[in-house]
Amino acid sequence: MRSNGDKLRIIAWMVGMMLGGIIQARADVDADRNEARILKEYESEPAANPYLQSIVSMLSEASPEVAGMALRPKAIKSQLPMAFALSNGALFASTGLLARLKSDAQVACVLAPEIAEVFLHQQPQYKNKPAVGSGNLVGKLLLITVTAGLAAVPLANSDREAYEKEQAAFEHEADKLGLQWAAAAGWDTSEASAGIRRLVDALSEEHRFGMTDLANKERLTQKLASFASTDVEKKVIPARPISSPVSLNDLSRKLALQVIVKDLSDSGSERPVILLNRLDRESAPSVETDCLRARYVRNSAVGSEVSEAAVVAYEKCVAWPASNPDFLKELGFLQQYRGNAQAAKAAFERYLLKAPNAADVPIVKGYVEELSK
Amino acid sequence: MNKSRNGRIGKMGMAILLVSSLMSLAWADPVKTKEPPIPSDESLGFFGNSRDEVIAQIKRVALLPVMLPGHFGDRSETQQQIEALVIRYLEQAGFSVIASDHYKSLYDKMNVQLGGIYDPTTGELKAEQMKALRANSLQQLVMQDRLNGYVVARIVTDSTRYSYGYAQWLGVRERVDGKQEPSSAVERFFDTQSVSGNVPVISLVVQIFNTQGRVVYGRLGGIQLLAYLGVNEFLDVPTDRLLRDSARLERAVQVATMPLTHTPSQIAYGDDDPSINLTKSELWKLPEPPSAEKEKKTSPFGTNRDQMLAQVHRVAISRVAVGGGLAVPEEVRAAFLSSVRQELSKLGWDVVDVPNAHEILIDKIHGAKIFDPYTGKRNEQLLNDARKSVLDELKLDKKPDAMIWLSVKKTVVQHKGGDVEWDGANQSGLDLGPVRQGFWKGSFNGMAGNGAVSATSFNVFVADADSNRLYESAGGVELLQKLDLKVDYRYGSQTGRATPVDRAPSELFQDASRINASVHNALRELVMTPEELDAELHPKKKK
Repeated sequence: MRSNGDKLRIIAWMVGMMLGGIIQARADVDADRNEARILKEYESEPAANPYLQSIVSMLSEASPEVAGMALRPKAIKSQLPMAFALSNGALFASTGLLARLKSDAQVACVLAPEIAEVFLHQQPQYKNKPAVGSGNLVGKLLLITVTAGLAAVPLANSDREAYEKEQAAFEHEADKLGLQWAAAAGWDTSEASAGIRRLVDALSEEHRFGMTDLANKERLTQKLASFASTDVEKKVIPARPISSPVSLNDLSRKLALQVIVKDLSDSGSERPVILLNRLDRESAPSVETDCLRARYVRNSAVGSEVSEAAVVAYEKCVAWPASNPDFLKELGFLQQYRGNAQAAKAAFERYLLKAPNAADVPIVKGYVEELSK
Repeated sequence: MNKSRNGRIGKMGMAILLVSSLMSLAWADPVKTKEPPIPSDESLGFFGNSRDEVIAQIKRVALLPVMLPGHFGDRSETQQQIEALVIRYLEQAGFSVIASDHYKSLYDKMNVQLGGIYDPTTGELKAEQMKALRANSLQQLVMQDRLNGYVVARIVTDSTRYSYGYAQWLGVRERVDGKQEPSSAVERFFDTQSVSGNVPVISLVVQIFNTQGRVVYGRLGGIQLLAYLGVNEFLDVPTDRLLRDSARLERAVQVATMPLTHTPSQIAYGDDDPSINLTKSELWKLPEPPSAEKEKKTSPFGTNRDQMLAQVHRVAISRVAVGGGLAVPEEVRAAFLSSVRQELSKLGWDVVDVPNAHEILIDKIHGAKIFDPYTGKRNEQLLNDARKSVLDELKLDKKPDAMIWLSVKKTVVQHKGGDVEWDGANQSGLDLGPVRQGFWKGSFNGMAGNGAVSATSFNVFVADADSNRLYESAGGVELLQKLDLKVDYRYGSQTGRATPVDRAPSELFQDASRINASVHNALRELVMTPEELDAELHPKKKK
C-alpha cells in the first residue's frame, strides 16, 4: 500500500512528465514553424541537396548521436554564407556557403558544429537551463531601487558579459563536438580553420560581410579561435570520397556563377568582376565567366551608351561553342543599338540556329525580317 | 554710496547676467544652431550610382503602363491620371519622357507574334513566354526610341502605424478617422485622439531602370488610407472610391519624385517647407477623404431559400477540392464531407456522391479553352457551359436538381488587436484560441494593432442543372498564421508589433470542432429556418 507521500511523488512525476512533454511539443511546433518560415523566405536550391545529404550521411554513419537527429539537409539560395540546424531535424546551408568552400572536409567541419549546437541544447545539462543573469531578480530590483536606478546599467552590463561568456563556452563545446564527429567520419579537421579563413578572405575581397554567423567578420574570427583551441586530433589524411551525384567542385562553381548572376542584377558594384576573377584564378577562364564578364561590361554603363569594349566582350563570349544562345541575342541588340544592322542581323540569325525552340523565336524572326528591309 | 555695497551690487549684477546668459543658451533651440544633415543619395533612392550620375546619364526615358493591384479591375482613367502626373514631374526634373502607348503597341504586337502568353486551357501564365515578351518589348522600346532607361510606376498596399489619430508614412500624413481636417488650429488641438495601432494604406512606387534592366532609382509616396478608425472597429473604403483624389495622387507623385526634382541639400533645408516636406502640408487644404462603410452582408441565395427548397430535392455532391496550394490530407477532406452530409440531413435531400465531379469539370474547362491566351481573362459563359455539362457527363440514374461544389481555400483576413473574425468563425491570432471576450475584446488600442493574416475557409457553391447559382457561402476554418507579438518597453510606455508567422503544416486541420463549425457556418443559412438562424445569431441573454 503506497503512502500518501509516495502517491504525491508519483503524481508530481506524472505532472512533470506531462509538462515536459508539453514543453517539448511546443519546442517542436516552434521548430516546424521556423522551418516553414525559412522555406518561405528563401528560395530552395534542390540541386545541392543530394550533396548535403551525402555529407550528413557520412556524419550519421560515424556518430549515432547525429544519426539519432534524423537530419533533413536543405540548400537555400543566399549570397551570404549561412548554416543552421533546427531541433526538428531541418538543416539549412546556403548556396553562398557552398559557393565559397573548397573541399568536402571544409563543408563537413563547418556544418558539424551547427548540428552539435542543436544536439547539445537537447542534453540535460543545457535543456531548460535558466539564462545566466536571470537569477536573483529580487536582489537586483532591490539594489536598483536603493541606488535610484544607478545600479541598473552596471548590473545589466555584468549580466550581459556573463551571458556572452557562457554563450562562447557553449559554442566552443559545440565546435569541439562537431569536429569530433567530423574526425570520426574520416575528415581532416585542420580543414575547419582553412574553411573559415577561406570565408573571411572571400568576403573581405568582395566587401560583403553580413550579419549571419558565417558572414560576420567578428564571429568568423571567434570561430577560428575556437577551432584552434579544440583538442580534436588534427591529422592530414587523404580526402575521403563521398558518394554524391555531384562533386563540391562542380557544385561550388555552379553556385558561384549563381551569386555572380544575382550580383549583376542587384547593383553597380564591382563584386561580379571580383568573383569572376576568383573563378578564373582557381580554374581556367570558361564560357560562363567570359559571358558573364561581357554582361558586366554591358551593365557597367549607367546610361545607354554601348561601348566597343562591351561588343568585344560579347564577341569573345559567343565565340565559345557552348555559350548560351541568349548572349547571341544580346549581342544582336547591342549591334542594333550601335546602328550595325548587318552585324545585328547576323547575331539574331545565329541565335535562331542555336535556339530553334526558344520561346521568343517568332519575335526574333520578326527582327531579322525588319533588318533585312 | 558705500563702496563695499556698490561692489556687492556689481557682483550680483554680473552673477545675474552670467546666469541668464547660461539659461538662454540652455533654452536655445539646438536645431537652429546646427546645419541639417544632408541625406545620402542612397537614402533618397539612388542605387549603385550617385544622383549626379543618374541625372547626367539617364535623360530620355519611357514610362511603362501604370500597374494597379488586380482587384481594381479596369481603371484606365486612374492609370492615365497617374501617368500624366508622373510624366509632368519627371519632365520638371529634366527628363524627356515617352508616354506608355509605344510600349503597349510593342508589347501587343509581340504578344500576338508569340501566340499569347497564357495557357488557354488553364489560364496559367507561361513563364518563359512572359519573360521573352517582357525582355524583347523592353529591348525594342529602348532601341527604337533611343532611350537611356525606362520608368515603372505601380500602386502597392501595405500597413503603417498611427498614433494620436494620425498615420504618417512614405512622406505623407492622414487622419486615421477619415474625417476632414479642421482648418482652425484650435479645433485641431481639441480634436486630437490618443489612439495608436496599425492601419492599411495604399501608396505609389516610382522606379527608374537603366537599359540593362537594373534599378537606378526607386522611391515610394503615400496616397491614402484603405480603412478608417470608427468606434471600436475599422471601416473599409470601397475599392471603387480609392485613387479618385487627384490632389492625393499628385502628392504621392511629388514625394516619389522629390529627389529627382530637388537636390539633397534642398530636401535637407526644406524640412520646414510644406512643398518639400509634404507631411507638413495642411491636410485641411486637401479634399475630404472618400467615405468608408461597413461591409454589407450579401445574401448567399441566388433567389431565396423557400424557392430553392421548393426546387431542389436531389443533389450531387463533389469531393472537397483544395485551392491556394494548401495541403489537406484525405482524412480531413473526408471529415469535411461527413460534416456536410450531417448538416444536409436536416433538409431531407436525396444526396448522391460524385467524387470525380471536379476532375470532369477540369477536363471540360481544359477542352473548352475558356481563357484568352493574350490576357488570361476567363470566359464566364464558357465556364458556365462547362459546369452545366458536368451533370450530363456524370450519367447518373436520376439527374439531380443541383450540384454542390465543395472546396477549402486560403483567404486573407484582417485582425484587430490580434483577434480575427471571418466567415462566421473567430480565432485569436496571438494564442490561436477563441477570441478574447469582455475587457480584452476588440482592443484596437491593444499592442497587437491591426493587420492582415492568412486563414482557411470552407466554401460551398450550389448550382442548378443550368449552372445558375442557387447558394454560395463560406465558413471560416482556422488561421494559417500566428501573430508573433514583440513588445518594446521604453520609458514607462510600451508599443507592440505583431508579425504573422506561418503555422507548421503539422498543426493544421487538427481540431475537428473547427472543421464541423466551418461547415455549419457555411450551410446554416440553407439548412436552418430563419427563426432558428436568428436564435443562433442573436441568443437571448438569460435573466
